[in-house]
Amino acid sequence: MLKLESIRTAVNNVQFNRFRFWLQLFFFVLLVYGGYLGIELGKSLPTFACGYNKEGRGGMCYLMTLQHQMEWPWQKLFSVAGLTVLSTFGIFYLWFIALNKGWCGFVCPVGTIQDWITSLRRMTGIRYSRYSWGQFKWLAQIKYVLLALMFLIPLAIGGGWFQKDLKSPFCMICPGRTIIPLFSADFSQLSIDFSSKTNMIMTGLGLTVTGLFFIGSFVKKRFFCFYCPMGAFHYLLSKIALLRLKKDGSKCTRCGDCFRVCDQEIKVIADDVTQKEIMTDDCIMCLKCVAACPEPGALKATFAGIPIFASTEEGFIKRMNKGCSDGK
Amino acid sequence: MKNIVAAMLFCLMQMSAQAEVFWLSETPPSKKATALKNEQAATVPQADHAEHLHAQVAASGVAASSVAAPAGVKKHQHGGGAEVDATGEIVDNSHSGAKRVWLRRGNSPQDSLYALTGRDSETLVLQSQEGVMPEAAMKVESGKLIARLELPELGFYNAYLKQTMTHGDLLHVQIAKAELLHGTCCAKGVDEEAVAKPIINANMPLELVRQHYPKEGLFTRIVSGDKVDFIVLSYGKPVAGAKVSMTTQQGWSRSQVSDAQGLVSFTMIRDYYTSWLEFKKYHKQTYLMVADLEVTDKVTVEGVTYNAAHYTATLAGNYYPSPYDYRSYAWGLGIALFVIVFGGVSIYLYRRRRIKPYQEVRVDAKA
Repeated sequence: MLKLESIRTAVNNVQFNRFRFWLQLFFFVLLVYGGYLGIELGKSLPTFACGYNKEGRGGMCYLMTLQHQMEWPWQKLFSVAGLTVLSTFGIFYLWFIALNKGWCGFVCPVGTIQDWITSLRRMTGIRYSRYSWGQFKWLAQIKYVLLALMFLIPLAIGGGWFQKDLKSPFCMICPGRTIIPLFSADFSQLSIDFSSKTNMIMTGLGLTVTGLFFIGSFVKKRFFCFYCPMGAFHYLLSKIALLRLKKDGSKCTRCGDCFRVCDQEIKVIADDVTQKEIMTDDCIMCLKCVAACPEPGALKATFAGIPIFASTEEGFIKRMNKGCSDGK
Repeated sequence: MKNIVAAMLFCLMQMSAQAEVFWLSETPPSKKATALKNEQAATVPQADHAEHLHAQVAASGVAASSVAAPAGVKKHQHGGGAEVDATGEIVDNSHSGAKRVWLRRGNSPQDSLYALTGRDSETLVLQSQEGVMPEAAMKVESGKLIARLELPELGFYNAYLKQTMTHGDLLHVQIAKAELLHGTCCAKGVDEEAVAKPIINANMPLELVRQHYPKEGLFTRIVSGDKVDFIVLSYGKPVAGAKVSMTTQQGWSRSQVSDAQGLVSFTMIRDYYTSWLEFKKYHKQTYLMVADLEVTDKVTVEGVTYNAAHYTATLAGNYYPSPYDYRSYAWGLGIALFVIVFGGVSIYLYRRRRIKPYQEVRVDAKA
């Protein structure tokens, strides 16, 4: 019992940013170079393990599989073959419920690249940007629009309304498609496809988003995650996930530390002292808020109801001291 | 006198062989052309002196289950009509496991007729990486000779149709071959390099084998501009001096003679020119390879000796437009760089405008 308590204390006092950096690096290597090591985690991963990274990928993003399946002719989609769609979704869901939105905060290679770009900005001493509250509310809707289009356009292709050139519409504008294959020395996605008007527009749009991704991530933490339809999809399914973010409002002093470290600028995390389930649709479950909270037990991450990482005064002080010494 | 007549007949056979060869095609007849070509349905020229032996290629003792499986073919594919998509383009199912193979006659992929042999059915010899498979039947459907195949596993398969004709003591053998691919873009648990190797049939008197690319997998496409190597083999061994010709979809043709390793190399030319609005990057075109080999020595087949023999081997394949025809890295990188530079400058200027200059306010305490 004493041993368990000491383990819990060690976890709560962990140098969280360093731990997260190495964990992200591990998942990045696994998903971007895993293919070279013979690793294949399937086609239903709830994260941007890009399928266009043909040789290196250690698994494939579910959104790519989903869009391909939605493009099936309706006769096939709404027949027995449609069970394949359900089984693929089932596998995706099983992967998802284990980590909830932790897939975004710890596993997603596109998210990791954004964190690296943020580190680069920090080194240059350039300050980061934030949205105003009005902008935040308005822009937060974009991911749902993208999610809806990601379903509707492939369905319309299957129904014969759109040309197949419009297939996998979200993949065509996803920066993961253009950037992740670069890590396997595949530059083929950096071109404009002039074979048809649709392809030209979609690849042009994709490279425009790639440009925005680089410049946006440089001045705004986790810039793309705010618009990511995978994040929206996760949130819609997150009610029964095992990893959860909880808040004890009675212990919160509303100091605002959690809001200040939040890459996604989620105000509710600091303001709301009534809800226990504090995860919102924009949350990426990076748990930086838990690490930055000085109030014991005010914020905690639980797995299947068991607390695995909680805010403590001791942990907060240790991390702050480390931060101060790092800054010297 | 007898020898002169035989030589003349041999020359005639050669000429007819050069004029019209038989080959196996995966391209379905277009519906538009079907009606016209039905009227012209071609049949094997039954030379007066020719005797059809329909030599059965040595079949192994593999399990007797037939690979011909018409049930595996989609309903809307019946009748031999090409399946087209919403834009009218023929659907490319070259990677599907359900295959249809037609016998065609002619030496241009575009103009060759869908042929008949004068018999109700023919026998296709099938070979996979594991060896010879049970034979499959080619049957007459809608005036065309067609085989419907269901390729069980991922990988390449060869199909051979061997026709043997004799003219007195002269032997003429035509071997039409199709290299079929049951492919996928996303093979899982499959050793692609192992199953994507070319297959050789050591029982064939003449065979054209396409040398696969070093990294050729189960979704590799030949595109215009590629250099494609072929090896001419006779009973599995390289043959020098065989005349090999390639004819592309639009009728461009070139010939070479195989070297000591039986090797010939062709560069796939670009012969798909259309307006930009009609351009299709998955536009499938067919090339036809024909290899001719003359043997002037005596040849003994199934106990019968012939004074000379002429072998013709055909192999058809598909090629597509090159990505270099429609992809531009300059534009792609240009757009991305423009957005980065324009965005960066915009953010910089926006931030600069929001900086309020320091204004010192001096208060005169004496005032």
